[in-house]
Amino acid sequence: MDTVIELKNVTYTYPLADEPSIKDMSIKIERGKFYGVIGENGAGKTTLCALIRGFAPSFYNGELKGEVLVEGKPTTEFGPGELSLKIGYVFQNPFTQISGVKDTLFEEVAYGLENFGVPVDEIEERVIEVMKMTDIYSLADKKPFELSGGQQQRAALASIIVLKPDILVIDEPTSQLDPEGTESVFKIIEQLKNEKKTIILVEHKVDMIAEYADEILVMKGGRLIRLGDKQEILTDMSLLDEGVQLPQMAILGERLIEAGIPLSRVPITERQAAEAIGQALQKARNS
Amino acid sequence: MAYIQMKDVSFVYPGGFLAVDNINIEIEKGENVAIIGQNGAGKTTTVKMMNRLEKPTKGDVMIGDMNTKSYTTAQVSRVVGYVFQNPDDQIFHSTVISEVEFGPRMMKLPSEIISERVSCALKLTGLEQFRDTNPYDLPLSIRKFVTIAAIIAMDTEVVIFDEPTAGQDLRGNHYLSDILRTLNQRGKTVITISHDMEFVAANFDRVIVMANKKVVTSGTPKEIFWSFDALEKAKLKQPYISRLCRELGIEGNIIEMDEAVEAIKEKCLLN
Amino acid sequence: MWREKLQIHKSNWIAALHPSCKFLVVCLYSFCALLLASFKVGEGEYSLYTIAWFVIVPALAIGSGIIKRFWNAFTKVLLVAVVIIVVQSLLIPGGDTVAQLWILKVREEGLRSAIYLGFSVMNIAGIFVWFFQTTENKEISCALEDSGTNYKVTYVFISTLQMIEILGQNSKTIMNAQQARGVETQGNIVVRTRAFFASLVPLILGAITGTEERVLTLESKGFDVNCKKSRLFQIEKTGREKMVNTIAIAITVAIVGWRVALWIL
Repeated sequence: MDTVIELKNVTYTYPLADEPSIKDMSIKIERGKFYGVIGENGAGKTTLCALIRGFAPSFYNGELKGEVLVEGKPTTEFGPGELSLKIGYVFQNPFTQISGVKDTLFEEVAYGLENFGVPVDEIEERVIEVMKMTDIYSLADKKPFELSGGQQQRAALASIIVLKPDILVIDEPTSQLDPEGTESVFKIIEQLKNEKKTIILVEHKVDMIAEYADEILVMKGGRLIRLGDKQEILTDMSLLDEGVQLPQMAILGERLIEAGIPLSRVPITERQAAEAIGQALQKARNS
Repeated sequence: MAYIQMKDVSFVYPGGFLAVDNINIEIEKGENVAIIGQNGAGKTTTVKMMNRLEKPTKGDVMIGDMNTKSYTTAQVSRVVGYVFQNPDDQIFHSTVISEVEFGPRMMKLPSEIISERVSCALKLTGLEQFRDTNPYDLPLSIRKFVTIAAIIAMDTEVVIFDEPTAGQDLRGNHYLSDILRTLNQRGKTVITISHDMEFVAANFDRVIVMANKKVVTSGTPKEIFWSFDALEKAKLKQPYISRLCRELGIEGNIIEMDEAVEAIKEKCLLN
Repeated sequence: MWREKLQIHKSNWIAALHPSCKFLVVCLYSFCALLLASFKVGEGEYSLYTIAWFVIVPALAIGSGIIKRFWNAFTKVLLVAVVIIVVQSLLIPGGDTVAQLWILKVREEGLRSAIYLGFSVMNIAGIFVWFFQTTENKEISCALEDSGTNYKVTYVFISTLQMIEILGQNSKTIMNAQQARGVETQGNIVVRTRAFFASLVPLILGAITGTEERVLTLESKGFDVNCKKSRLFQIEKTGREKMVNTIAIAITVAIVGWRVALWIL
């Protein structure tokens, strides 16, 4: 197992806060896997992201107990700018992720590459590729801050994936997007996963998580309450009581089983559901 | 005659960009309507014209017998409340309570009525515990409820919600359903823009579909989510449950969990 | 080619001068304007040379081919200058009466001060208007970085310039939000003033809360990475910078010489 990020008994308290936002968390994140982070608002999901990226405690200050290791080295020991080469971070609020110094969206997306000192020919190639991938190429000469919420959200994602970091931490990248836009963002993330990137994604759209993620991390009240295989976690109905949404298909499957319809397993995706229910119907027909 | 009427309405931005193209919408008093469509379909501009935040370049918007043309935005907004998509565009007080009080205060209501409305709005949005908190200390998803409470406290005849489900968790969605139901019971006309098809299927009487700056069609959720032509035009998908039922060949235009369970059960027993 | 599209090519050679050259012109021009304003001419001892000096600003604007844009921006300066001139000439007593209209009297000292202040403002603000109307933000930032300024300083400078535009837009958004809550922002001056103050709080709050995430966004985009940064945009020189610099310096030296000569003689 190739651990790329590790939290060892981490407890973290923001300055002036009465209570820790993360309580005694220990996890190992494996390289090349896609982790879906779910849980109710205020559960500490965003704080977890900030810890992994080292913003907590280096920017927010506050008190950190335990250790957060990125490739074996504590985040607190990385020099300024060093982690931005390793970890790409996309924030939740699409309206605040603009550099504020660029006149066009094209330059905005190129900004990080300029900072990294990438040769200009390569910058141009990479920016065009990513803008096409995120479907914002037609907006390339627009002013960044005049874009709509959905467009800014895709622009924020593009400005980070263009940097090609090994690890991506993405906080609710689809909150402002329509169903098609959401789907395309997940397709992009899937593609990144195929490129062996490690992905940590906070998302409420659990049906999409069920479809695309490998592992699930469930948080509540600053604690990790589940970690593991998506099939097992997303069919655990007790999570509904913890304020965690579960996939529509899982809830349907569970209710069918309660109603006495024998399913081979509780499905979490549409494909699984069609299969399991189809089989049950077939069996009923045969008997 | 319908309570809200948009007649041949178009909107062109000063730069010449056409955002809404000759639409006609009628909404009855007390209706609970959802507007769905892709990003950029013209949804937000359409609802902004309902309370005159945007002024139609062409056509008339009537609320009751009031032609919004002859009123200021401030006057129209006493009848049509609008909850912004981005809460940070709306909040300008340092405590939740003063934010929520602002609207009723502007209407110069007696203080007992103000405090009654405010506590009612806070209760409905689950914000009682945050009365004296600075809205900017709350997470974005809760901040959205502050803006919702602020509009509810104004007790307008029409309430418009712009993407209330964005970034909400299970609990937040439950609160939103409750709010919609309560407002509807009070006889309010509610118009909601949403990208969440499950939420739309479960919470509305009527759905208006928009695509490419135009209204494609409108109908009950059952009709809309089984009208593949309209969905394709608007590049939208059925709710998960409907998609599954379609794949299994189950009839009855199912859009909700309960119906699906019943239908599948029935199909099993029939065999 | 996108990179080609991002470059700025100006057909007018004055407008196309390197920002550092234009900036030198701005500084020397302002210095000369103040110096000339201290020349008292004739019996009334009015600063008449500073009025003559002002001819250069519109001439530059015309020569740079931006007269329309210049005029649009300059009208605000003009308004301030006119207010200064009117107020100064009417309110300051002393000296003979130069002109009289009903009970309003313009006296010598008032007029002297009005010309001095009014035209100093017009000269200095005018030349800056010319500079910013012929120079884009990214040219300034590029020139600053070329001159060895730290990229952090450049960032602050440029983001401040852009912030003005963003704040303007935000204030519109907030005005909208207020209207939607029953605040009249149309109508008489009292109503509008009230609305304006109501919009300040969210504007400032919004700017502050946005800052934290913006800092972290910059950090995520490698703002602090320790390496030589590359740049899509490159600034061009016209080749006439040296000539312009020489002329500007020569004129300044001549004016200084004249002033010194007047003192000595």
